[in-house]
Amino acid sequence: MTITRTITVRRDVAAESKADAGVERARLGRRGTLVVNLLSSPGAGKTSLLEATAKCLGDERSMAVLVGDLETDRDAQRLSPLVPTAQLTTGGACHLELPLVRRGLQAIGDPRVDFLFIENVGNLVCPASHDLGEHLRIVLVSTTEGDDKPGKYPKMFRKSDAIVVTKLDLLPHVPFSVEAVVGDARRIQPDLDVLQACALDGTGIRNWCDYLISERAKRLAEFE
Amino acid sequence: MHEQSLVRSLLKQVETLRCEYDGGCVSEVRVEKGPLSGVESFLLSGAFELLSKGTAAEDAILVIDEVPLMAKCKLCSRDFEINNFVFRCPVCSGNVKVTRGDEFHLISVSFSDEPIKNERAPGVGESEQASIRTAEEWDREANVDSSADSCLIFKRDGN
Ligand SMILES: Nc1nc2c(ncn2[C@@H]2O[C@H](COP(=O)(O)OP(=O)(O)OP(=O)(O)O)[C@@H](O)[C@H]2O)c(=O)[nH]1
Ligand SMILES: [Mg+2]
Ligand SMILES: [Zn+2]
Repeated sequence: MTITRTITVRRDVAAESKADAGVERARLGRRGTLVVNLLSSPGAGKTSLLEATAKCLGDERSMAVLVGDLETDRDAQRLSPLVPTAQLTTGGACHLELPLVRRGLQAIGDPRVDFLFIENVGNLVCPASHDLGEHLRIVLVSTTEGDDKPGKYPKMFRKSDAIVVTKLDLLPHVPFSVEAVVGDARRIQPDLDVLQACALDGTGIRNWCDYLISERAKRLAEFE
Repeated sequence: MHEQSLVRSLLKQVETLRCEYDGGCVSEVRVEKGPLSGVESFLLSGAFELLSKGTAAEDAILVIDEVPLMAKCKLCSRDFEINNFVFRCPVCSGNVKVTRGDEFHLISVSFSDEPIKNERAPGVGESEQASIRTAEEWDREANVDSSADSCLIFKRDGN
């Protein structure tokens, strides 16, 4: 007869990778770099927002970008004239993970910048489950993708600090209500900050940059 | 799809316990997962079956207990279950703190005294079908393409 023994524990399976992300967050936080993880569905305007951010904030603050895509360096080609950029190609994986982010950061010389932006792979599902050591997690929703997204992808919105409604210039042409998307998102995460922007004509970009500056001061205080 | 990397961590923890307690063949692995864990049961079972092959946990049954999403109101301190992902207190509409349902935990491991057929260490020499790379493999395979001088291209594989 088979004798069975059961050992009862209660261990977080992801403890190691969580701890790893915490180490990176503290390391970069201590030296004054705010790490911003930018998430959205494909094409919501992450790279465009970063281009506008670099133009607006570039003279006042130092920054670097790590940009993730499945293939190509197209986004890095757009950003590198403006800001030190490393393209991370995942070769099929639908989200970024910390080891690749670290390698990208090494590749651009692990610079001491005020802001390190990580443009994640366009996807509202898997990136939500991966802590990249960021201090601030931003989810973009464009006016062209419908105002019903938060409820469909609750984890993404629950795990974010702020939502940026993008492509504001298209609002007159599409059935999209900013109020509806914000209401839906705040049922899931009442603490969400809300920003609005148009990367093409610059509407809301100064406000977004001021938000970044104040969040940096607030969120890095604990690492001093 | 991150179930494979989680199952790798799970199998490593199981193996650690097996060594610690001098256990034999692993007959059951019990886990708990919540709705906010981002873990899909179907994918989890598939990954477990695939990645446990050849290890001492090959014949183990994976039991997945689904735990509810629970929260505490930050204003009135009531505890309640969250339905339909509405994170507000049903009584006072206050904001809430999630107390349960975020987790993916290893709960218990059972060993039988059956002889162990396989002893491959988890993560080593995995089945060909295991498509998602480990962190070490990512590291090893990532390389810098210095041919492009306008920006640094950083690829996971060498092509
Ligand atoms: N009308 C309008 N178009 C915009 C705006 N921002 C971005 N776009 C356009 O939307 C398309 C996608 O923008 P990207 O910045 O490449 O979006 P992304 O989120 O980086 O895309 P992926 O990296 O592929 O997921 C491009 O054609 C942009 O020109 C905006 O504010 N208004
Ligand atoms: Mg992009
Ligand atoms: Zn309450």
